[in-house]
Amino acid sequence: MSGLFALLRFEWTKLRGRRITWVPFAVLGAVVAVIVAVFHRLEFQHMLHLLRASFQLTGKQDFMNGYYMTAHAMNPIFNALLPIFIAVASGLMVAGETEQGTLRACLIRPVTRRALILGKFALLSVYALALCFFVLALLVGGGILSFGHGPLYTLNILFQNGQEGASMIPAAEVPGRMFLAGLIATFGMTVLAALALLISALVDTAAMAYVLTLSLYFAVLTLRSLPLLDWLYPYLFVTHMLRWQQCFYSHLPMGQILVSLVHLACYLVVFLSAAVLLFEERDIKT
Amino acid sequence: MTASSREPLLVLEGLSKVFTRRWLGRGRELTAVRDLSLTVYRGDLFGFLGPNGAGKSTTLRMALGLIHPTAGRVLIAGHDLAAERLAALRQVGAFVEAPSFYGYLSGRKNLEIFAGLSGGVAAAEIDAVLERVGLRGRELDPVSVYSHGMRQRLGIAACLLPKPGLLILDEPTDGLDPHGIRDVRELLVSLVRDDGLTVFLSSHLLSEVEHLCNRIAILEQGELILQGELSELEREHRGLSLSVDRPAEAAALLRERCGVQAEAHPPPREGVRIRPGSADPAVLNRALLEAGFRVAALEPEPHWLDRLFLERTTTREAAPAGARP
Repeated sequence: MSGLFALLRFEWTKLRGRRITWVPFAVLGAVVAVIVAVFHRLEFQHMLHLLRASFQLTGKQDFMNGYYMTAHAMNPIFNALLPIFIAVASGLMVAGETEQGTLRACLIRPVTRRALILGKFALLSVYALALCFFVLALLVGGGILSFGHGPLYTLNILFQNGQEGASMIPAAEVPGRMFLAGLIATFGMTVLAALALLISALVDTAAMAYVLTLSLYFAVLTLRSLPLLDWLYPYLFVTHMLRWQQCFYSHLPMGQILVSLVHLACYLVVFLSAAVLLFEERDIKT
Repeated sequence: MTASSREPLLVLEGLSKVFTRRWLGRGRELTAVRDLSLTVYRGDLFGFLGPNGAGKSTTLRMALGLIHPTAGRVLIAGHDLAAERLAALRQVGAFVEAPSFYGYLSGRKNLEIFAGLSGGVAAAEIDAVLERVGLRGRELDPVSVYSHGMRQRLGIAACLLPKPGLLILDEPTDGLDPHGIRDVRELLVSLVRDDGLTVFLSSHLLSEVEHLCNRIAILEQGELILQGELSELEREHRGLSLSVDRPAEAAALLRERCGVQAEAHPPPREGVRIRPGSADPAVLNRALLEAGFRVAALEPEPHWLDRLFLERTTTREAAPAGARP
């Protein structure tokens, strides 16, 4: 156990020392600032226009708040930006080290390949958690500071496969829902990290590892958007990675969420086991 | 003390490696190392020689568990590398091809990481090793600003933490300036003589091996073609070199009068080479002087290991496709 902690400590030292580790945090900070500015000027008017086209709005119109901004900004950030950062970090951790020769230097030490991969995966999971909650905190904080808080109204078209109408979550429930969404999204990111490690175990360069991982992820995401392939959805890992969106339904579908978590756990075990097996059998020739 | 009476520290038994490349269902097999057996004894400074593509790096990688052998086994201090990997690797400090580091971290941090993977060492031990390889004062600089020589020294420092019994080094003086080469050679000798370490040294530099090592092995196209004590090989293969006027006539005279195997070198290295045997240099010298030759030098053959190596190996610019992974 102390060996695994030591491995984690050294992986953390390496991760923390790399400048590129901190780039995603800076990018996310900049993206959130732009989102706040854009919502301030344009998005709320656009949303009002859409709502007025479908509903007759009466009473206090406090749905244009920080929670609304957060929920709607999470889609592009969690579905596109974070997977890119996670795939790059995973690629650098194994294939990048193979490319540099440092993996070779680690493997001639008395440490098992399995421990090395699992240590990297554990740290990647912490990194994914940090990225998810960092951006969530920025979005919620920036949103509330700029637009206040209140009940969360979401357009179903964005979260419920094109269904019409809107969902409403009372203000008191929103922080819990967002926390849950963050946890589910983080779990999804760890599955992507395991996939990236699996691909890293097969290739020798970091670029090849993250390009292949992202190609696979976006290819599956594209397949998922084709209505003719809806029979395939339940089998795609991406479907379950996106399950965090259901945290913004009026009634939380815990059953579906749990099924997705089980699916994600299965994908995680398969990807990680395959990564460990391939890595243990692999000849390090570079 | 003979080799057989000493404790074997690194044993390669019938080691083979066949790389298989499959493309469209058609397999292509490339044999990098074939049935290689050799033993490195405790206290040896063992030179591992071979032309480019002979399979030296593949052998080193198999000895360190980076490449899985197709057949055979590796024993380090009695531990089978395949079955007791961690126990075996605890005895070893090594670098293959070139030492690799995290360039964005300091030299000291790199040493902490690599030593940490072997169980960790005290800060004082890191200080001592840095002092020994001459990197004190620069240990807090990022490795990315280190010169090639400094990286090589840091590589050796990493190998020494925590103190191993066996060092496996691939071209440790590669790319160093003459001062660096001298320092590394002195360090290796001191590690063996003063610290009781065993060194398995892969090198292209025959003079380096000749001056440093007590035992050598030569690999050619994945097969071991020569292995033994350097002193025995020298006795068997090192002749005399004679600088004399009229070399062809001198060689004929020595063959006839002294019964030695002598042959004249063609220009530009004009002279006579006398094959190893029981020839007494004083007798040869007297015979030549009596016959009126002007002898400028009569000495043990220089570069005998180079000659032996070139005689036993095929010189090629590029290795055959099958010789390297």
